[in-house]
Amino acid sequence: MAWAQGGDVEASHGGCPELAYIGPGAGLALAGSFLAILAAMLSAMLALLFWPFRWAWRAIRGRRARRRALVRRVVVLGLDGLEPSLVDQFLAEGLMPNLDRLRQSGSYARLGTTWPPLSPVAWSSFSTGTNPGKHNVFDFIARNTADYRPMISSVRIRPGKRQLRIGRYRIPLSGSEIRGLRKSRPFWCALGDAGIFSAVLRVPITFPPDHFHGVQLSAMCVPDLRGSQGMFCHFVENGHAGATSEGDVGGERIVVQRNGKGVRARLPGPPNPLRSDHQMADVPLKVVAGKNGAAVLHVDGQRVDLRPGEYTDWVGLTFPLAPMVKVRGICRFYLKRFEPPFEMYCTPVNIDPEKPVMPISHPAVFSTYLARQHGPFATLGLAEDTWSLSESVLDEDAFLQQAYDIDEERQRMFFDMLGRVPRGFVSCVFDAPDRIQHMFWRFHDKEHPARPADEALQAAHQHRLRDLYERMDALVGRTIDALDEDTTLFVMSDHGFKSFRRCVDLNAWLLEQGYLALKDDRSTSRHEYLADVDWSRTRAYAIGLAGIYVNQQGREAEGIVSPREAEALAKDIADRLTGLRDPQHDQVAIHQAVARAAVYKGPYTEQAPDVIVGYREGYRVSWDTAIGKCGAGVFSDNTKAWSGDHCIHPELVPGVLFCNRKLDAATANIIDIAPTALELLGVTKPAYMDGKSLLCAGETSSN
Amino acid sequence: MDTFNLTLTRAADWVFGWCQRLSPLATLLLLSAVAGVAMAVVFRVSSNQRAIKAAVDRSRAQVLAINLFGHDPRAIFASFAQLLRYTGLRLSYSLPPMLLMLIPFTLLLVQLAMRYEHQPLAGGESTIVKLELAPEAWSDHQRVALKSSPQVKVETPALRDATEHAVYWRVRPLGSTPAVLAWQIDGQTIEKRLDVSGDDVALSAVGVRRPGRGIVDRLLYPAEPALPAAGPVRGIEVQHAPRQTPLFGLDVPWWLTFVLGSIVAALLLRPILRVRY
Repeated sequence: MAWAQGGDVEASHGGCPELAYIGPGAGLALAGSFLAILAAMLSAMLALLFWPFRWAWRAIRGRRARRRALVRRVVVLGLDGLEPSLVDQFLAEGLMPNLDRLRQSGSYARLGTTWPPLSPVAWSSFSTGTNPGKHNVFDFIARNTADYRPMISSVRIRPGKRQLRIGRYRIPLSGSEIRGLRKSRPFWCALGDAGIFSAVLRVPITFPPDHFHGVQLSAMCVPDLRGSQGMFCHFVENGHAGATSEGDVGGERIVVQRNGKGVRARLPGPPNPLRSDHQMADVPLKVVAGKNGAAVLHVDGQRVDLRPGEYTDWVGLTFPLAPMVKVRGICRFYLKRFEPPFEMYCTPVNIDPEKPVMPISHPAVFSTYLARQHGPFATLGLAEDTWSLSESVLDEDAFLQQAYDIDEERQRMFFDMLGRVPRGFVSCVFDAPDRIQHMFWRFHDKEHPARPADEALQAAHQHRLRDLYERMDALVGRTIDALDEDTTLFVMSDHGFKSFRRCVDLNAWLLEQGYLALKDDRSTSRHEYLADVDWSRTRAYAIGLAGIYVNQQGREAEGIVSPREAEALAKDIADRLTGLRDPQHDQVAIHQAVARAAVYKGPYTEQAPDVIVGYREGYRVSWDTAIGKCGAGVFSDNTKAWSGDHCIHPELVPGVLFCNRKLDAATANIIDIAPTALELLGVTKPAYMDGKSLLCAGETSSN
Repeated sequence: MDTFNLTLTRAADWVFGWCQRLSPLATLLLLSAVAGVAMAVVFRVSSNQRAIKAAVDRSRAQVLAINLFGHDPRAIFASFAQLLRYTGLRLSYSLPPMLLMLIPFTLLLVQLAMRYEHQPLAGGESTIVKLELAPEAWSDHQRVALKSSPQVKVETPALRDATEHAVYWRVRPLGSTPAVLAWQIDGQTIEKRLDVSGDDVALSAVGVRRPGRGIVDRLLYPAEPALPAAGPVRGIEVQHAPRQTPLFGLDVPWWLTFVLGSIVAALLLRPILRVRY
């Protein structure tokens, strides 16, 4: 083949290499998978490369703990608000076989709680092993002494101080401040100092998250995207737009516009921090008719099927704040009816855990990991929307569904952590018992003023608490099954639960007794947050759930009581409140009121209310007092769906403690869990802790 | 099949006719972008997007887990095993759309290959013609002759390769318009189009091979009808110079440009198309 050049003759058309490519989708899937594996290999190689050094460092740091440790792992399963009397009843009825197993083979005791027995206070004492005088959390809210307005007690969020104004925009030049107000040090930090890894999920008052050797997902006090503690949206066709309740919680009623095919509205998001006018960012939404009575929601470029009486999955939303600046949130929708009058509920817009706008976990990527591993989940501190049921926006079934959905999300995370942390400390707090008992106690208490007259409704919900306790027992069973023999399990509640039938308006009592005066000598206030109080004639006032503050000179902005007189005044008020009777029911309403010095010891005692009020079973501070109002009378019926409570005298509402080993738990208190967990893992109790180890004599690590 | 190929080629001619004002590279990039978007849409509707998202998310979660729980080597290996599992799942979820797109995408690439793989002969440019015979017909027909014509000069006598049962000629088109090569075998005239053009820039379909009866052969070379089934000829090929479609001055194969263009388009429009790969 003289005229043919080399192999060119055969190479005229050598097949189609491009045919190996079948579209960008497959190509990207392949490339994405390859990159994921590559990234994982690099991460794994780095982790393995550094592992000997980390191991050596941990071995040096934790050699003493490792030598003294009694177990490889401690697990604390927190069931918020589990009530001992109900536990006893259901144990006796054989409804809680798993807790019964723990009782038989280990320990079961009442667990003393804090003054006042509120979750933020009690769980802070759990974390730090201290009384509230050392951890500085005395209530859900604290008052600002400068203007008497309430503030969240455990966190302060402030925008950055330095800003650049460009037209209507404000460009932050410094980061916003998110400062935790819980003081002292949680025991997982002490474990971390000893090289022991911890996984801490949804333990209240962990926002902003702690920094320690481990992972943590924040809980109570994590705000929603609007910065509130939970603001739901109620889309309606009739009625007026506006807030459904007073304060930082509750809902916003939004009136939809109907045209021929459907309804339109805007879903409010966060106030825009980049604009001078803080205009609310929002996203438009449209709901159109679907098939078989269903509807279709179009929001943020997504098409979401809505079926009446069913929740959607979490829907991701992006709120534009400025060009190229967006924040992401997630929410769930619940269509009540599409036909006129249209009605739809939307949960508070939670911070998206996959791309959180503020730190809600430690390390920051931990929430991203959880979202990717288990899907989106509720991040709001008080995730279960009790207000929507209180205001009859949701019915009991819808609320229950929401609470149990959140419970399932949390169970997935908890069992994931049990699998991933075979050595160290794992804890998760489940809020469903607390929220469900708050809202369903009226079905359990036949004397409750808020018990519905509708017998069918009563019948439908009379066993809800029983169902709840059985469900929690099943969770305990799954947990026990997931543990090895070298793990100590604690199942505990931070407080118990009682009926909340009658409200005590402390401000009305203070007014009646001459400690408080209202402007223009009015007998009731019109505005919340103590706005109607005449401070020049007021010696004491109440706001929040815990107690009463003295209007002290040099402390409160318009204080009139000298510091010398304050203590005596507090004692006087406490003495007069103790044994206060409810004339209508001829019962003692207040078991004991105490001056703070009697129950708190520590550097932050000064921040506590001056008088702490311990109510009798059936009584609690009134709704008006909680938001700084003064009602018409001292006593009134509680007619809200929020019918169970625990903010009474702590001796009357202890929690429960179960453990799979024998404990010396006759006088166990919630502050004792931290020292016990530390000792089990071989770490010496820090000197600041007030609690004591519950391990039996002869079983301590020193032995 | 011939009718199908003819229809498809005419449709492609029509599309390329619309783009004739653009350069070949611009046409290729435009088509790759359109194809990328179309394939992304097909991928979205024909795949289980929810499952793909879950698999992708969980794969990424394992990468994060290696960092978060890297203090424990067992956790690292467990995460890696999980990563492989979810990667396998993810690829398995991509299979249905891949299968669905296999044939249409092959047809598209074949049409593009016809135009971008080679350029037509220039007038007066010599080339090699190869005629493949069936092995059983070799002894009877190895003396087959290529007819001379006023349009094409046969420059060499036939060169026979008994091992491949092929006969070669060197030919030279005399004009700048398409010509026809013809052979007389068993009383039948067998023809092969010779794509010649005076414009070496403009895109036109180049039939490098007239296919035999095999399905794959006909699928890959749709420019001309298949050879008669009963005849001794298995295929006729004409050697054409490859077409250069440089990208940013680099000699990038056209198909790579197409792949990159479609991937970039599919990626850029992913948020709008709301598709997960």
